[in-house]
Amino acid sequence: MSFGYGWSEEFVAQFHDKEMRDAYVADQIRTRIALLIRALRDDREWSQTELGRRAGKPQNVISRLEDPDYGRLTLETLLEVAAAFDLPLFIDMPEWEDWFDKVSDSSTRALHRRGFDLNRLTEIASGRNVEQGEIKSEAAAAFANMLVGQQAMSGLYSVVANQNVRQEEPKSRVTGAALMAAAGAA
Amino acid sequence: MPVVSGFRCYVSPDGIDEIRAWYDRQPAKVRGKFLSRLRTLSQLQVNDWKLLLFRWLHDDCVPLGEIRFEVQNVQHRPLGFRAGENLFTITFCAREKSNRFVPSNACRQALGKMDEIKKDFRRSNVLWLRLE
Repeated sequence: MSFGYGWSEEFVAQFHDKEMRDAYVADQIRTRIALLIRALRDDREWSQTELGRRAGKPQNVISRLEDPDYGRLTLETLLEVAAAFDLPLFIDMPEWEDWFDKVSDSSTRALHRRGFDLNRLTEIASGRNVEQGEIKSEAAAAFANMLVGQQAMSGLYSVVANQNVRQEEPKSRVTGAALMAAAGAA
Repeated sequence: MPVVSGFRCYVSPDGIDEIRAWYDRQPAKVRGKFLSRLRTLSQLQVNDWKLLLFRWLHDDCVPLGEIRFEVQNVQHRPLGFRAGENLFTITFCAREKSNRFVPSNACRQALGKMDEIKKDFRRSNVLWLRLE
């Protein structure tokens, strides 16, 4: 029986041993990074030397990054390599089910990435704004209809509801610096 | 991503899945890494298997290939052969030290087991590990 995309009850049952599961996670991440760097470099037709030049690293560092058995990656190096591809970096410690989903695809097809493209991002953002604007308009219309209906029924509803509206406190955020410190400590 | 490549494992004349027996003898770190590598390879077409995860062997070891991974300075080399377009059968789990297999006759053993399977398909099992 499948729980999520690409993993089953029998699959997750194999991870009852903590040491085994730690080894599995470490290898999936290292392998993913190695395959990703190789795939991004191949897409751009860059040699290891060329990527090294762009990331400010010698070729042998890039060669090690593409070795799934190399275990001494630093966050700083990953940031520099990501920047060389003009890509952001994302580090997280998610729930297990999210992690299984996120790493469920290591195929070459899943490792293509586009660098920063302001036009594309602007188009996406404007498309999203239109969508959100429509939702807001629909919500506003529905709310207005509801009020009209209620007023017609009792003629009494007015400001009282507003007095009960509580301003929600902004949720506390984990800062980027705290996240980086946590990742560094790990 | 669905599994696109599958694995089978050598079974001895007395019915023991020798790859599973090897796996069961390994420490947790080796078991975790072995499962991880098979999972990654299973998501690629066998034609796309390449260094540094996998290597096809040469000379006396043809047509064998080796799955490559290291745990605590031990280079593990499960050996096997391509048994179909996207099917790989593991026949023997060797190690590598100073560019030589341990045991030194690993290729000969793996090839002999391959011949046994080719004569009798029942001398291999579907991989018991779940990859998805």
